Amino acid sequence: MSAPAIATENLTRRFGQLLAVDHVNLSVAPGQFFGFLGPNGAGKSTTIKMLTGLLAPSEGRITILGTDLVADPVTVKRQIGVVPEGLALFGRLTGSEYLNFVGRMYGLDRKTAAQRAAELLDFMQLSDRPKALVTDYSHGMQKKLAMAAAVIHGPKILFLDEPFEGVDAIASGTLKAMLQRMIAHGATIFLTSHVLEIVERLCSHVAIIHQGRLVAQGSIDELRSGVEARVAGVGAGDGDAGARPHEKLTLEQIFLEIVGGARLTGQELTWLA
Amino acid sequence: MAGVSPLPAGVAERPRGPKSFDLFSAVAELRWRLLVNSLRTIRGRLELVSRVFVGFSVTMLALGGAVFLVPLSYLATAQDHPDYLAIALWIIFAFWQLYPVLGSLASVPFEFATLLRFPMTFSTYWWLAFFYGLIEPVCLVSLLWLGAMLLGIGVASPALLPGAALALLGFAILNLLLSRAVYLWLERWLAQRKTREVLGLVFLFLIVGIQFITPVAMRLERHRAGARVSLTSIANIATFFPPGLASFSLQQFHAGDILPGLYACAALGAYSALLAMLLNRRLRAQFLGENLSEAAAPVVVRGGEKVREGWDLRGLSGPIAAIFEKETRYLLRSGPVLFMFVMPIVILVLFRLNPAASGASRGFLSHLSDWAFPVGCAYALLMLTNIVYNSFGGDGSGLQFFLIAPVPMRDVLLAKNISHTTVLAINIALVYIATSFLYSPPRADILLITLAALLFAFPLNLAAGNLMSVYSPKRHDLATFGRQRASAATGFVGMFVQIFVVGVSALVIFGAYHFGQVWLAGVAFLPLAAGTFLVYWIILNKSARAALDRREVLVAEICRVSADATASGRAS
Repeated sequence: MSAPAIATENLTRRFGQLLAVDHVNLSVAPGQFFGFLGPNGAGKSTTIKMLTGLLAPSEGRITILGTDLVADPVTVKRQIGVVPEGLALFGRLTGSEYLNFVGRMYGLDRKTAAQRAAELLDFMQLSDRPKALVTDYSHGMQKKLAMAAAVIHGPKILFLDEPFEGVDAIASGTLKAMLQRMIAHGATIFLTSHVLEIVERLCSHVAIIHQGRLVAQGSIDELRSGVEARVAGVGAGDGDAGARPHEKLTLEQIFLEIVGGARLTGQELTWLA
Repeated sequence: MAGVSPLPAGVAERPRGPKSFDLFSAVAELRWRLLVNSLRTIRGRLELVSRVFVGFSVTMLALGGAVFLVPLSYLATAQDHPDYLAIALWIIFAFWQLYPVLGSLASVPFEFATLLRFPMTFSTYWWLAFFYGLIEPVCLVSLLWLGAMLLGIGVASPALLPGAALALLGFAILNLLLSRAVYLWLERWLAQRKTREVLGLVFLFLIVGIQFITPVAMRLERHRAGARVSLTSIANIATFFPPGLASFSLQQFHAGDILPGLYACAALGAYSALLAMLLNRRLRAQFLGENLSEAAAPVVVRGGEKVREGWDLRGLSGPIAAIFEKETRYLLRSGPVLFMFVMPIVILVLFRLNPAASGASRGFLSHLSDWAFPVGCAYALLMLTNIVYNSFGGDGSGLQFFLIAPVPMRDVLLAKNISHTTVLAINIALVYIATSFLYSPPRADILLITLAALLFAFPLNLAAGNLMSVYSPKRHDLATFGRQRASAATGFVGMFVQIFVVGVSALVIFGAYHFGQVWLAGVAFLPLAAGTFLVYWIILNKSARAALDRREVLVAEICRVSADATASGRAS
């Protein structure tokens, strides 16, 4: 079995008294489309920030493609692409200037950077306003530009923090097609998203973090089997998963069962129309 | 559900908005909660301390002004000089209108239109906007001053009291409406990037224009007759402005000419009606839900757009050249930065316009041709420290890219410093040309000493700037004038560095004078420059390490987008 593309050992992050990420041991194999899920405030963004070098871990080790991130960050960063939470855009450059800049920062020569920038702008349908500054782009356009910047150097691993948030259906389709193409070519993709339907459709493997701890990790089928076995163990009709016996559990049902969110749906606001 | 009682029958069919008073109190409570919640952070507490200090100063100013205005108005009325009251009225007018303008350019204002999501009628919204202006400190202070004037006039001449009250009330209403209209229109222009930048440029040109008033007035002084004619014309025109009208009205009432006085009050009323219409138009646009989005509209994609290659900078590695290009583009697209670069030239022109510079008088200005080049260069260096001491400030969320890119932080800082050095070099060349054109080309020894002193001073500023950029970063929108202050720590360190540089330079230059060989100062600066360059090099590595250690602080401060900015679409 080949070495994992992404591996963490006891990855921990504290913010004062708060333990945001608590001894997380992740393992993502090369070529996997990996979804990293969790409720709000579970530690998803903190983890992805640590994996991409935006945040220093308080404890633990991160290995990307066999290289220790803390010991040799430049080697690791050369091989990864990142769309962080804040998109990391320079607002007062045009889209093409920004992509050119990013390409050269990743070591591409001027000609290649310009060529790829043109292709990416075209692919992402961003080439219609070449003189517009990034700051004047809509949120969806900024997201597409950030995605273009993350792949301009052909990374082996792509980290995406909520890539489909605020993106329309057309752009979303374009992005998904690009990501699946990357997977087909052997890249590894690690994404966080709150849209579980998208994760279920795209990802082969998922991990669920809850209150800073990794509570589940594996293929979606493995997680489904685990939850189904647990529900069966509790007794028919007592479980929260809510699926009929002949139906497969959806990722949303699996997620709610694991993090315990299903119980909340019983509450009602009687005064609400 | 426990604690929630069902609605009485019929209420659901007939939904009603809240009463106006409830809205006013809700807005007051909102502002209070914003203040209380801001105290959770050290920054918020410091802000409160500064507000208390400013509040105390404003109270003192208000009380001092009132104490001064009562006897002034009394004496002006009692000694038959009501025309003197015009001066006070003009000062109050300027204070009432200009102070909020400067304030809104210096801070992110409360987004009044955000209240529109709540159920309220247009009239409630209108009065909310009006009363919101009434409780502004500047309004309260101005009303206190007008009250003081009325008191002084009333004591001096009780018969004049009704007329004076009418004129001053009309003046107050006009000012209130004007300040609200100006505020809301400014808010409208500041909400969009392009109008905000244009407004900022206009504002700065206005400030520079004001700098030219004194030299131009001094030149006019030489032609006294012409100046007198100009002042008379200005006085005549001033009568048609609100303070002039209020003053005219007071003078007429004082002279017993009631009808002209009433006409002037009516003119104030007409102005107020016009302003109320303007205010109405702005508030109506807000109420109807105007769209101030700057996002690009969908356009048919042409495709195949050719992208120009990045700059070819021989001798620099790809990433350093890319950062250099990015920095240069940023600086060239920043109105305030470009403005900073022309300021040394403006200063030289200002000195040149001064009559003393022509050699008519003795002292510093008569030696300007010798001093112009060093003064211009020193000014250029000082201007550049605004960027050097906060070099990540303008990057916004792009700062994250420097942290995820496979480029050592040392190279990022180095590239930024190279671009700063290039800017300084260009600025010095411009100062040289301006000096040669406006005065005379600088003497060889002064040129040598100045350049050598810059070689000594600039690396030191770069070193301190890199450290402060990492240890005391502050988000800075390079396209926006005002609205942002450097951190106090940065200001303090910058001042300390400049004092050190000036002190050492003075020692070197006076030492050279002492030996009777001025050019020796230039030579003496060279080893000092080597020393400061070494310091720069050592600190560059330390700053790069510190930037990585402090990346969370940097990201939190530079990539931060305030809730207000997000709400108004100002996030970049």
